[in-house]
Amino acid sequence: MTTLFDKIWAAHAVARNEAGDDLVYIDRHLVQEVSSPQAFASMKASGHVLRSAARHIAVQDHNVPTTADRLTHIASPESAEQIATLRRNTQATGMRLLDLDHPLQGIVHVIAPELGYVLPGSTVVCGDSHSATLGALGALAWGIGTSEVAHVMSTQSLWMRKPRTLGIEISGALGPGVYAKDLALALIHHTGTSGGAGYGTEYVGPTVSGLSMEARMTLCNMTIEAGSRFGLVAPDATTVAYLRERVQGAAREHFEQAVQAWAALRTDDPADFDRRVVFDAASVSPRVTWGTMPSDSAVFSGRVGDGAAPADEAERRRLEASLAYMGLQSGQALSSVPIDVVFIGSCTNGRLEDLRAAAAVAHGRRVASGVRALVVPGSGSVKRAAEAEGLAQVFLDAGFEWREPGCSMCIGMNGDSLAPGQRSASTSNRNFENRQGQGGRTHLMSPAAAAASAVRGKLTDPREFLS
Amino acid sequence: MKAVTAQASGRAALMQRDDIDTDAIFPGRFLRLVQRDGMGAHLFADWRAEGRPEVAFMQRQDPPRLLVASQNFGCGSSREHAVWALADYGVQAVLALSFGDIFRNNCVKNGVVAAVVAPADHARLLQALVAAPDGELRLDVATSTLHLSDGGTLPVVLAAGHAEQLLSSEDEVDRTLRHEAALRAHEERVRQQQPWLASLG
Repeated sequence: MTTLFDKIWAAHAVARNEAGDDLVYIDRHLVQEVSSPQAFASMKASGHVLRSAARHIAVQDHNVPTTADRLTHIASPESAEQIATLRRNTQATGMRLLDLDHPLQGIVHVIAPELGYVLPGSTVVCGDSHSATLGALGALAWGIGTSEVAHVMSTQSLWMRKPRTLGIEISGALGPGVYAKDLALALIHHTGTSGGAGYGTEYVGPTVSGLSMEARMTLCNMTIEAGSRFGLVAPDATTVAYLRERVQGAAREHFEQAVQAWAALRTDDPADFDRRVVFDAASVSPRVTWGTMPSDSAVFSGRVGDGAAPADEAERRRLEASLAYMGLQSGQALSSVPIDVVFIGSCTNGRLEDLRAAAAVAHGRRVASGVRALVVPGSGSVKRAAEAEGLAQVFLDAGFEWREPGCSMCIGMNGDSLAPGQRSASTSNRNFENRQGQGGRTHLMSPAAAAASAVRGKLTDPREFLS
Repeated sequence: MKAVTAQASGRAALMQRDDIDTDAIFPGRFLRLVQRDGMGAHLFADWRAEGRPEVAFMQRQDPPRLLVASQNFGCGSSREHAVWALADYGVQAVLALSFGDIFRNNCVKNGVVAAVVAPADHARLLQALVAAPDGELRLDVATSTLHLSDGGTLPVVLAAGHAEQLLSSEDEVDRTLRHEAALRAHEERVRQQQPWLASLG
């Protein structure tokens, strides 16, 4: 009787030290250009070597321009240098790189599942906190720092203390126009931004079983915004169907044997979790953030500040600073707030299903005048699929920009960013101060809500456009 | 060989705001840098430019050696640059009610002490800092004890294993590679029992 988290952990712990930390074997390591240069440098400086090149894959995503001429022109010399550094480091070590001109290039957390690279029961790390996304496939996947990136490259393992387990049991149907992003924002609102700290989170229950793989990725992606490094969903028929089309090599060869083994990858009894949260998805409506933490959210018919009194003096001061930064008044109706920029994309919401939901709202409508709206597919595969099924044309006809894949305006390192004071409707994951550009103001929401907000020019509930 | 951090001592600065994220500690646009030295120049760059009260302590020439923060310090992005910047600026220890998990790990890797202080002790610490803002504090890693400038002491809590890591002069990769036989045995077992996991596509 044990949890899924415990089972995968036990299958990967190869040693224990005096302090009680386990040496956890790492099956897959994903590398990107921002968190790796100093890791490659420290590996070289200390005389260590890449232990097992075949277990790593690298891609450039944070810095890559989303403009059509990006193979010949990168405006920022620092971005160009970081992209070139990953190219040099992968060549020198024999690590596989999906370079900028590769048809599968894209955001690391979007491409890894597309490549069939993340398997149930495996361990996957990446120098990026949103690695929790990949737990949707029933893998232990988590974000690490650069020193740990260097450690994984040289040892294929990490020393870690096993976290406690948190089971989030979700039942009830998501209503029309309500998506996994709304569920994630509602959960973070409920648990707070540090509610999951020290826990590995597993999502269980009928609502989770009913979610598509892509929706599960969105839900797991935002787990880090509640403080938990791990979001996890047990593999089931949906997982197997998703992987069957995508796995390669040894996993393709031994797929049926793997599927049989994966059947044991589940939490035996909810009572096995160290902590449990029960949540009703039927009570969730489309949500939008109004403050500078992902927990600061309300329904679109709600008000800035959500009407709740701050818990203490520190929270009162935080809210005051947050609203000053956001240029909003406490109690202001959210549906009255005008926007300047719309960003649809990121590792949270840059997958095909997300673009379909946004296109369903954009279809036959126009982006409001004065609003700039970008759609940035999460990967080359997503981009081509969206073009093939006509979604790109829907966006273009509606006045959206259709860009090349990458992290783009989620983190604002690649030339796409908000100007000071600009307000965005964004499908990304963080509304922190200055996150999307110095002085930029971010409202997080689902892709359908972002498209609705683009059309109306104000924060808008997508259900107003869905019949 | 790596540096040993047995203690942090000096003046402390106070940051009384919950949820200070690593985007605030180290703004995203400086993540384009490929080295790790000199990151202190970008510490809280946006907040400094805005003249935010939280970073008023940075107007002084002499950097504080300890930061006394509140809830959930270092939440958000995994960027280790946030810790490199704090260390480069001169911060040896961060004391808080709680930390972002990845940030806390990144601290210990760089010899920065990330210590949790219980709420009652935190209140006592604030009291001591108000009474003597420039008083010298000393955090002793081996005993997990904070010595206040008024002679009092407070217990602090380091994450399991962090004290050992701070006090060890051995390179962590070298230490791990002593377990090479166990890693190889694991790989062989996976090859036999879970061949689908053994190699990439």
